Amino acid sequence: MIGNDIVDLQLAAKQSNIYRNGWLSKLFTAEECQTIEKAKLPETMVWILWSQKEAAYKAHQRKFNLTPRFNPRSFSVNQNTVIIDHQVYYTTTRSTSTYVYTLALEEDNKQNKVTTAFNVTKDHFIACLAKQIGESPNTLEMVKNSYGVPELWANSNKLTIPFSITHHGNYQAFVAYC
Amino acid sequence: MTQEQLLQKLKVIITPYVQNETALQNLSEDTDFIKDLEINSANLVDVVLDVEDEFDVVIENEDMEKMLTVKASLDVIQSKLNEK
Repeated sequence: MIGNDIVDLQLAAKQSNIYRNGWLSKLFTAEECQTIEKAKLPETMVWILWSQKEAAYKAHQRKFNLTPRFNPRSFSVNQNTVIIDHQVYYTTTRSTSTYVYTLALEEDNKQNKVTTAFNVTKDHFIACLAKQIGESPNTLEMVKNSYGVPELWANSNKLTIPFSITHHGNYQAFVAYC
Repeated sequence: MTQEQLLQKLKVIITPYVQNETALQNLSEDTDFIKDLEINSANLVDVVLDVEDEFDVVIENEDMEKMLTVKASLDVIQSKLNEK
């Protein structure tokens, strides 16, 4: 299974006051709070850990078809792994001065099986994916299920290709595992 | 406090984080914070902190994790108020 998450750092700084009393401690474990405190760029570290948790949560929710929940502190980040309900997810994070992006996978070292489309439209991604799996782009459709998780459908059949979308501010990314 | 009064207070709390104004106008118990109101997931914690401040209650993470809809949030707030 797969999950991804992007944070537009400029927008995040506008939307969230990470120094608000209780903000960090509701979202991060004591160890993670220490990692943030010790970091050269604490704000960026907050969003690195956040995106790791979000990406892993998306993979986890898709894998088990879970009802949405909001408790990132219960997912613990250790280096490039995130543990949710005893399940391990492996994350790859790219951190720049303008955005933080994380990809989460169930297995380590399988990043080569992931197709990523950065800052393209949904239609462009669907066209790329259609080509890769030998479907016509006109038959592929992306629909959100009742949990808000997007699914791919072709000719009224739900495709089983694991994929994930993330969008924040000026950035968006699509990933599929195939 | 009646359910309607609670709902109005919650509406005031969530308004600054809402990105879909139409859904806010049609706010009901079934409204989903992320799917309908398009609240950024990182702002859900601000909603929880604002609820704590407004109602002078403490919300544990076990309760916070359910607070993704208006109904679930009202239930948590009501149960916290009942404990007082």
